[in-house]
Amino acid sequence: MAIPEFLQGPSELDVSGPKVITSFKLFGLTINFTETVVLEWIVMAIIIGLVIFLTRNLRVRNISKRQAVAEMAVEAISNLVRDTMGKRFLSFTPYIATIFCFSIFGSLISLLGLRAVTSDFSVLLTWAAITFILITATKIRFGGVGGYLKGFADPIPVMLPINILSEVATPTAMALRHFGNIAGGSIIMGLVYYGLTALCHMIRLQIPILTVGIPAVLSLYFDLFSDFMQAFIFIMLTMVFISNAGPADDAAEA
Amino acid sequence: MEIPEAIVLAGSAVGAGLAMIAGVGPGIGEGYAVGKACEAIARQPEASGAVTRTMFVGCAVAESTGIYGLIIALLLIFLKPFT
Amino acid sequence: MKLGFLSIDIGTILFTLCNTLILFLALKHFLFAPVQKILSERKAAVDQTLADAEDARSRAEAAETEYNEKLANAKEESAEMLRTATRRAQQRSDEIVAQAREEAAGIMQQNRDELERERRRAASALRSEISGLAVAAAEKVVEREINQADHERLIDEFIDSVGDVQ
Repeated sequence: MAIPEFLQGPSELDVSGPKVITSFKLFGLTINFTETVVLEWIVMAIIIGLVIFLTRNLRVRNISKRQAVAEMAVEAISNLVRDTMGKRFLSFTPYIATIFCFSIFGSLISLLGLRAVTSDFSVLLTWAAITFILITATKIRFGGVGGYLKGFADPIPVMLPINILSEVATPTAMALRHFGNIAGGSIIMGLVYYGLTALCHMIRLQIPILTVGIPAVLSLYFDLFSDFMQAFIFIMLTMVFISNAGPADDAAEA
Repeated sequence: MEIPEAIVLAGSAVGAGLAMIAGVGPGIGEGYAVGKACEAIARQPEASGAVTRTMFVGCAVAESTGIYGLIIALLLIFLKPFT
Repeated sequence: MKLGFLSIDIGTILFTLCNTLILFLALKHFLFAPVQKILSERKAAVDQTLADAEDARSRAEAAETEYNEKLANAKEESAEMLRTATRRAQQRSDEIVAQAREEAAGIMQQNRDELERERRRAASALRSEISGLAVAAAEKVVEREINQADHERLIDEFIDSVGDVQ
């Protein structure tokens, strides 16, 4: 009896990166158009569709449930930003919300059987780089270029290399942490599927029935909990680093 | 210098195992942090939200060393960079 | 073709940068701007309602104060009026009673005077009548030519009787 290929389960563990759909040359650089970008578009479509759905027919009185959800989300993220960064950084709220939504939905997309956007290191590196740029911009905004450059020689000029290293390590660590959690989780889930399939084949089951319910328990942690935690931690660290880049007299103001 | 592939694979596997020793530190540290958070919540139950949030962020930061170890181990096992 | 597990890909970075920017603008435009507009509108409406309520309350308080004041004034006024009326009535009644007493006294005095006059007139009339009678009796006595002794006795008796009358 021939079993369809998609029912046979994974025959080998796949730990490679995203597929390259097409690539082209631009200014002598090879630009790859990968699977991740398509998945990002899907995620963006989901988020924007959800947002437009939630904010249809906004009213001041007699609000609908959709509007209540939208208002609650906006209030919650604004309060989080205000509590963590202080009032003067409240303008960062949409950026924080963007990263949070993108990260959560980009991770949760793996529940649909697609590759998680956040298991591509380049994506996380991009977000970390944006955070790095924002940190630098905040430092320059509050201290001027001179103050920013002087900050590297603080407290003594000998610390210069260590300061540069820690400056670069901040976004790298953020990106690696998120990437490691999501990609590690997906690899562990892949291992579980692979192992369960192998176990089924070992006890002469043609269709790997064991993979139906058992991984769901692990998936709760490795997909749902870990995704939410990592998204939350990513934005928390972003907020903390950016607000620390400003002067320290924030508490008195807030 | 030609090294037999088997030795490289064995070395990678052993290296991956050694890399996962990095998981010990975060385990101890996070356990300590969670214990302290429990104490803090027991002392001030009204601050449980802030304590929990701070604890999770701290745990995540502490966990990053373990995650680096995990990444190295995964690289060594699945990507076999030295073969 | 697939990229490596931990690959850093310029193309993905550029596309992700654009996508993040687009999502940021979309969220800002479709979620934050309208919702915050609604929230601030609601806040303004609530503030307005609160201000109105405060205003109405202060106005009601002012009206109540005014009303109480007026009520107190009216009470005072009515009490004053009552007092005045009572006093006036008392005065009037006193006056009337006094007048009546005076009048009664006058009438009684008048009556008494009248009575006195009447008595005097009667007494004088009686006296003149008695003198006439005495003259008549004297004539009779003269006609009968009684003696001196009888004469004197008669006159004395008569005067005594007249004195009794007085």
